[in-house]
Amino acid sequence: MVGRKYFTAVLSIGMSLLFSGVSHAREYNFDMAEFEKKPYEYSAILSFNPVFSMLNQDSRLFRLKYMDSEPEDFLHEQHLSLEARGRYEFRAFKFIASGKYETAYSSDGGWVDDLSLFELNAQYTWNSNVTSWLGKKTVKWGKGYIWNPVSFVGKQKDVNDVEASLEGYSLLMGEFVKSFSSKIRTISISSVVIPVTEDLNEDFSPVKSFNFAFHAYTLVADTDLDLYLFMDDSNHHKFGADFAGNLLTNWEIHAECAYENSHDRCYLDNDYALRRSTDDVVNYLVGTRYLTPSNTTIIFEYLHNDKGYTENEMENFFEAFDSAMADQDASLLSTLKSFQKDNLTGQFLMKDYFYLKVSQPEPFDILYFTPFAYVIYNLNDGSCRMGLELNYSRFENLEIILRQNHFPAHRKTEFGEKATGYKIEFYIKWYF
Amino acid sequence: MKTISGFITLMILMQAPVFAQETIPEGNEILMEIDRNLTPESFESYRKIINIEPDGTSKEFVLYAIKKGNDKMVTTFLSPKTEEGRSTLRLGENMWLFIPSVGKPVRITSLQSVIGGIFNNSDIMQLDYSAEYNVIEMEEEEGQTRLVLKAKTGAVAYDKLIMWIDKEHVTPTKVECRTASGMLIKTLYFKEIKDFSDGIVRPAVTETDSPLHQNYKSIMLFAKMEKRDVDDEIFTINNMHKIKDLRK
Repeated sequence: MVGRKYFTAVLSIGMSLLFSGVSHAREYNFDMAEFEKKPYEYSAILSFNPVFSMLNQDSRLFRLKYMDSEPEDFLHEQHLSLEARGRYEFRAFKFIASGKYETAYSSDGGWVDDLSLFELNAQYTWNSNVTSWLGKKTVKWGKGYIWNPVSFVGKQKDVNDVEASLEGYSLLMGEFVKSFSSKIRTISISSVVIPVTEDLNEDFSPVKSFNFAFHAYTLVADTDLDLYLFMDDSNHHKFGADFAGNLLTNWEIHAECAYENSHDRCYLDNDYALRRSTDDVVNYLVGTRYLTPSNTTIIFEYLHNDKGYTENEMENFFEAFDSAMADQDASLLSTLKSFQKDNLTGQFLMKDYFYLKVSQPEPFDILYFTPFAYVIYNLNDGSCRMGLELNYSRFENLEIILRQNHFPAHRKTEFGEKATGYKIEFYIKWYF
Repeated sequence: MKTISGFITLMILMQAPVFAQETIPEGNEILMEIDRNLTPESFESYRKIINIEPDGTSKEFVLYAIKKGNDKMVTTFLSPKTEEGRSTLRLGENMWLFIPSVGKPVRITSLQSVIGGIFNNSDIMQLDYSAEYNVIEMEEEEGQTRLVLKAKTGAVAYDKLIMWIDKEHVTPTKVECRTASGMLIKTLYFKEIKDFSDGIVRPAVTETDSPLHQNYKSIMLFAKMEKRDVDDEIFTINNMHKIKDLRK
């Protein structure tokens, strides 16, 4: 009920402000006073996001999710969020805070409120070469567009919205940068310390730990090269490397690779028993971005997730579900539900994928209109998800997005067994 | 496999320096003078870009830019709010885009446009003409000097430029941007000579139109341009998040 009150109030204010931001033709003046530097700055995005989903009632994940409730074939959600970012500068210090409050209603879950603090840190610039940070900060590593195996100290991006802000971790970070007038144009070295306690960074590691990461970057011969290292106080370590460069002005290539020792995983064996294993894994991604003469951008990536499930392990899960349903085995169903919640809710659950995105800005001379289509193809089980997004930013401080995702039903496959078969979302975002 | 390696070799060869075009040393000296008159070697500036559609409606963008030497430049959007903090770094032929919510720079190309409209990234982040082009023809035409510029490599946005020069201020009045085959991509018009102080006297307005986008027009207004020297480290992908802070 608290959520409903917020929802109505914020929606009313938002809509009235939103339409006052629409731009029309005007006199061209350039008032510099408007852009003078201030010690503090803030910006915010008020977003309204209705979502409509067609559920795939035949899918195993649908039946598992709704086994205790009345099944529906249609789900609708309304999200209202306020994302804000601010900074205050005092001499060489800069204090940064960003976060998001969201209230949402869904037809199967009622009202939910959520407050996320993305960043809250102090930055100190010692000189043009050295900067340090203390506090909650988002650190993003890697060159991949859709997935980053070397993201050792950050969360993975959301494939539904790769530009969305992500929550950081509380850390201490230092960075040294040096430029040169030679083939090696830039070198930078950064180190990160992330402590994990019961109350701090508890989602970074399941156990109390002291984690250290190191990143070296260089721009050499017009190519970005990075090396990464991660270790904790229980001898868990990761190494990674990536590069990005242009073969042609309009043709970029990139690759990313990461090795991790002692990665724990949980899977179902052929007897539907839960098993745990600890393996060394090597994850990698290769990709390219090409701009055609007609201004179409094509992004293509192949990724290998060594942590992912094999086709046999996924089949074991689906067959275990079939067996539990046939025998009405409540214990096994409960185990499967818990296993699914803990292990099958992420992205790229299996090992090998292709990703293709094609975007065409300003088709038919429609300024500020960018449609794109994408497909993620699972090479292990042949399933795919595909989508289309239409983005329009013609109006000042306003962004309108229509996004649809489709998960074609293929039995006993990752995407085909999703509880949702088709989803369409509408976003209206007001920036102020 | 041979086909793929052959294709890659061909693509790389297309990036090779352009030969067989005789340059005119006197023209190249004029080009360097034009560069120094348009911008000091190191400077900061504020610009407004206005995209105007055929029905007269428009959208405005305000940028802060810093350039150093002949191959380093960064820009960041100050307005509108949808673009605020989006920063672009150019180091020679390398270009990166930083979006605050994404939090890490990604490589982009000079041919794209981060704002839409007729100006592309290369127009907004124009380096010295003499760094990218050689003069291959020079002639007098109706009281102005006309230069034909040929790209030094295939990595620039336009293979050929035809430039008309105001003899009094030694700045361009008009620049046609053409492909290797001679097709006109866009025309830039330099207008309203203004004294920006610090000895900088240059056109304060650049307009552009394109036969590829009939009846659309984009305008770039320069409100402030000052000589300023900053450390080289500003021009690194690590410091793209700090560009807005460099304003005085």
